[in-house]
Amino acid sequence: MAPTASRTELEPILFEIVEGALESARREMEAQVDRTARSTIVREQHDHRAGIFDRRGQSVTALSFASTPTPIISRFEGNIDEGDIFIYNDCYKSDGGITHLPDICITVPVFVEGDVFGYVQVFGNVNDIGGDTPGSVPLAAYEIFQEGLMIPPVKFYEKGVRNEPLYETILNNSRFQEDLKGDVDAFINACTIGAERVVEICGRYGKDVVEQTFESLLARCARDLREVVMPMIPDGSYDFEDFCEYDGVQPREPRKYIRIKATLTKTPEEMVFDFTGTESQVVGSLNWPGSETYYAKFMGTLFKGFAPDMVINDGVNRVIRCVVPPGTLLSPEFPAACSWRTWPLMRIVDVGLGCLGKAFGGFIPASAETISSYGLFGFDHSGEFFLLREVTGAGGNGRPFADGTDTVDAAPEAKNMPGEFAEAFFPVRVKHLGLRPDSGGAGTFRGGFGYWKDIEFLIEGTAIIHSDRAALQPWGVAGGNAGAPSVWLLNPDTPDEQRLPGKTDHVPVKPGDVLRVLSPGGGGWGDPLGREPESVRVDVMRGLVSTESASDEYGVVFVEGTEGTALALDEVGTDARREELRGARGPLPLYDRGERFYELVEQGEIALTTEDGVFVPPPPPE
Amino acid sequence: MAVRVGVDTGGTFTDLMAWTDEGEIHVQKVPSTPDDNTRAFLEGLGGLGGVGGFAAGDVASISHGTTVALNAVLQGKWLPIGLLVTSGYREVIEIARQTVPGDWGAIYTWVKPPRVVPLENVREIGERITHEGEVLEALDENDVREQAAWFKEQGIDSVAVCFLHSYADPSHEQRARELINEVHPDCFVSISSDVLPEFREYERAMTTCLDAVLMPLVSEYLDELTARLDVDGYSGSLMMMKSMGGLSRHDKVVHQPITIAYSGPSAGVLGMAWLADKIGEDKVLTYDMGGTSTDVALVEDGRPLLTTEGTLDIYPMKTPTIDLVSIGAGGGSIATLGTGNRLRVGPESAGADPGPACYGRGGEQPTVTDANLVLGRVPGALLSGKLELDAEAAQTAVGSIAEQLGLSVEEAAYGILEIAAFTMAGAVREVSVKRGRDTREYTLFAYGGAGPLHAAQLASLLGISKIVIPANPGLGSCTGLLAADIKETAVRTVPTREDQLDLDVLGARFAELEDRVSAAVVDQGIDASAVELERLADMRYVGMASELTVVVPGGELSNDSMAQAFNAFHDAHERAYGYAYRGEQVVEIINIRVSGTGPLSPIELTEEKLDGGDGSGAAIGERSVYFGPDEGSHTCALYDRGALAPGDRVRGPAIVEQYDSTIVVPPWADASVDQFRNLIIERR
Repeated sequence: MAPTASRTELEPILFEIVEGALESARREMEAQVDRTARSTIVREQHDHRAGIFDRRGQSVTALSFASTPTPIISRFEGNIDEGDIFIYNDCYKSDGGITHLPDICITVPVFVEGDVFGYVQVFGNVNDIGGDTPGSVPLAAYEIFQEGLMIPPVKFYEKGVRNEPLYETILNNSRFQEDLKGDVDAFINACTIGAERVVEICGRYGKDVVEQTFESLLARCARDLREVVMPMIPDGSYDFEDFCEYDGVQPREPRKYIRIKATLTKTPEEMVFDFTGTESQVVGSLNWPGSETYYAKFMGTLFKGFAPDMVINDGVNRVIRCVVPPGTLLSPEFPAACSWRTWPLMRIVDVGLGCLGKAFGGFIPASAETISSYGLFGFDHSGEFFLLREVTGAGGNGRPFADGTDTVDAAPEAKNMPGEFAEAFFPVRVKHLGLRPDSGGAGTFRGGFGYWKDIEFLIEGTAIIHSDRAALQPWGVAGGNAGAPSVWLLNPDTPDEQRLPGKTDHVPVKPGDVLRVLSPGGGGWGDPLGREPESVRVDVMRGLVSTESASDEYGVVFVEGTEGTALALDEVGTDARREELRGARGPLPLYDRGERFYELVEQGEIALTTEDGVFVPPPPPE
Repeated sequence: MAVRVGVDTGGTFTDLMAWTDEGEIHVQKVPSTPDDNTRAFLEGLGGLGGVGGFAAGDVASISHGTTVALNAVLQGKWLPIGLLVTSGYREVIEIARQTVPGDWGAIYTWVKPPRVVPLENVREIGERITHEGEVLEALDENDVREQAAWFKEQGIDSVAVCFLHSYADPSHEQRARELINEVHPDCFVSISSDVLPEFREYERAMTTCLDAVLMPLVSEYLDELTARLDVDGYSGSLMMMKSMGGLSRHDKVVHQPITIAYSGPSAGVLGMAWLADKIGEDKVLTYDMGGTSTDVALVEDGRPLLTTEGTLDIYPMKTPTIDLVSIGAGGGSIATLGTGNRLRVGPESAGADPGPACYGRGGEQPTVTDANLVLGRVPGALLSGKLELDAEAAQTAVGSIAEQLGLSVEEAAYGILEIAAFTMAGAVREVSVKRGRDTREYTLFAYGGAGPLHAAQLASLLGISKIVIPANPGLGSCTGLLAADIKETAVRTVPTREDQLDLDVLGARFAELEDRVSAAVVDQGIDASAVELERLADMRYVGMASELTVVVPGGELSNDSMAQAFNAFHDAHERAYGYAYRGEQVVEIINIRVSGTGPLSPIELTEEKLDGGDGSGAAIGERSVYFGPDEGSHTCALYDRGALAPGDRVRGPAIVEQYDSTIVVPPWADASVDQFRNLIIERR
């Protein structure tokens, strides 16, 4: 009944509809994984991505950091049959699309009228694929061989028949076979659905129309960047650098800070992020074996705020170019370890934002470190081996128009672990689950507050902590202050209190021990003395900002003797205090990297090779 | 004479339907009175009595569907509430699940909407119970008294209580409620172990807060309504439609108002479910399109599918609700061009004021209704001529977009309808695909003012080949109200692995729930022997995060009956996700549920003889209608719905007009009138 192929005259609308159909197919794939996957990181942290690709392997759906089918195409083109399903996780044979081993990637070719028309793909971070530590993200690895089983791009199903010995071998390498099985089946099932949808869309609108839509989607992304985004950015060169901490293998002290540097050069034709100046690859597991085209897609998402409708896909590579010299943290050579490429991943977003901040005189979001994780493994009361892992959010970035969100995770649709869930399924008691006061960087719009969680262990086991920004802080911008760094404590507020490192795979714990998680606050945006005093009052009244911080950072004071909901602003006192603070300070920095950073600079442990500059407030509107 | 009445209060109209013990149906439609909803209710009721020839004393019961609770939340019209939580969890609502909605990069732009309860009104109480119901720390009663006094002093008159693991032992919450009422007797108190005795503290606290928000509103509304009914001599019982599609007496829902949040829309779905059952349609997609929004739901074997993952406005709500997806696409939805000239329809709506451009009240942006008028799909005047439409204004409005897109006005108008239909198809996929349902196997039941107008286009996108338009598309909700039974449910979280099953414990838990549910139904005047009980369980494979609900056989719980239930889970998993681990992986039960039904005498339809005519007696003229670039324009016959007789069959393309709706029969289909005067549109 449906009208079909001949309708090319309705181009803009047809295009829109086919695009919508493809996006809804991708979302359907992701929803399917959410519902059926087993591993905590896949389903609660939503650490999985689905993508739809054209026959050359270009991503045509909204990016969402999908991997790429090009490793399959280059190995198997001409030898791909209906019913074939491919699997891989080898970071060094993935064209930069899979960058640590727990990301298992499934690829299914889409056949239309007997030919390969495109590909659908799902990858997700499974609970365990072997290697040195439960969870397969050993911090102290110095070769990828220590990080788990490496599966090159291979046929997992041949014409619909599963390669059983291969399947058994893969499962055999995991500490949690049932979870791995559930995850792999979930990915395959989601891909099968995705492939069916693409076939249906071709049937409905015509193969040629869909193919034409593929190309138009890529072209539109490039066009939006070129015509909508680029005119907003002044031509020129803007550089910025930021640092990751401790690589997991080098001696902890003196601390080694690992530089990531970029120079954004914007001309009327293109935008180039040149990562020259980035540290060479490290011994430990912080290397990120991505590719220049992959990084370009990553940087592309920075521009989403400029054009909310814009859909980022592989078309990015027609406008944005990344240059990464060989052998750096972002271009490590085999067999460099890479479990924790997560931190350079977080950091290049900061570096990209920092470059843009210079182009826009500070009108960008501040830095935030919204992904860290901790875990516990051991044997529960019934003697079964368990691994509890939670990815914790942190304070979001202060922005030129709003405070940073309190305790959020930047990963789409990620979720924390409810106290009741943790207690019902793991030998722990969650004694506190809340916000971390005074952690958000002060600003006209403050950074979000970090997470504060106290977990009591009911068994003997091993705790693990995986976080960066434990020394260096998420920076503030345009006069806003840096957010608080992450802090990890064992048995807080007791004589045995112990400060734990931000990165460790081995903290022995016993029943009754309490781990306190204090995740970073977001950087603030704008002069703290410009914040509405009423907003400061509300934060103080709610117990989230101390009166000391209100007075010393915001210059806000209260009528003596008032407290709780009756807390009252002292307006005259506030004016005077702000006057006093203003008089005592110099020009506002464009970036505030936090006290600890400048101490380290003094001590000669860290050095900036670029200028952070000064914030020049725009003239007030007429 | 004994009469049952259904009253559905909507945003624009209040619809009423009476069903007499002599088998007669009477209807009445009056304008709603949003400033005082009871006024239209009583006026309509009086009018209905006049039409049907019955007095207040003849009304045995009134079933009521209302959007009063939903609208109060949507419009933010509620008084601040308080929340008591276990010490250490004060920020449970602030943090929610630390989730940013949307894609990567959304963290830069997303601003968290206002919370349901401000943080200063969240107070901590010393107490602790484990997930197995063991008391680790006794309830600090002084804490509770102190906070109750504080709430009283602050003028906070509705308080939610959500303590950790209260589903395993509600005693602390129950005691807290007593203490609050001792100190602050006028305070409404909602406790989470009543509202949602399931684990995951944020979702339970949130749902309980919503309940606390609704308590004063619903209580005031029902007090007012019952008082006025009393004065006017209506002594029959007042039954409220609940979001999960059953009725409860008003004095029951007042203690758990969250259960009637979707009272209005659910009544409509239930009406379609009843009709579907009557005419033997076992797989149905209900489609209600109005001026600003569209609601869709699935009905299988005469029962609407339920969900516990609903939302109330922006807030997650975990109480069981008909799985209804609502989107901002309706007749008044505005078409705009975004970045790169991308055509968007809705969610902005021209509403009733100024309304679509063609209403001639100052609206200039093109809407779905304007597009319909441009294409000739709606007549030049609506509501029997009460609303004249301005065709020129519609042309101008749509023209502005056509020009920028480089299309003709007709092509652009058709494009607007295509995009709108596409958006609606997306909503349908949300209810169908995520449950593993293939829409091509379903029949579309279209109702609401605009549903019949757009049904064919939507059906085409979804691969559906049969559409049913009920005799009175505008009265779907009233039908549902008169077709519904009394329904009570109970749930409890009891994590239990298949390989560690204790039949005695599980059986006892089911028995507790059954006793509770049964008592609640009997209390509403149903004979104990007539109560139908059903056991359900939410299950998953060990380690999964989401559950599927399956039926557990009644009678004594045995290894056999549980084996049947686990088997049903494998089936459900296979059906929903395409595979199962039968015999390979262990299943665990998370929640058990009991649902109790108290049957009421339902409305019946008169079956008429089919005459086999061609509808020519109902023909009222012709109009040129544009059906898109493939079909082009057709001269369409126009029919008067009221004059079409059972058995009449007309060939598409055609337009069928009735008082409050217009039906488009596309070129690819025929329409026939069935024995109950439903119009059936079927692909040729």
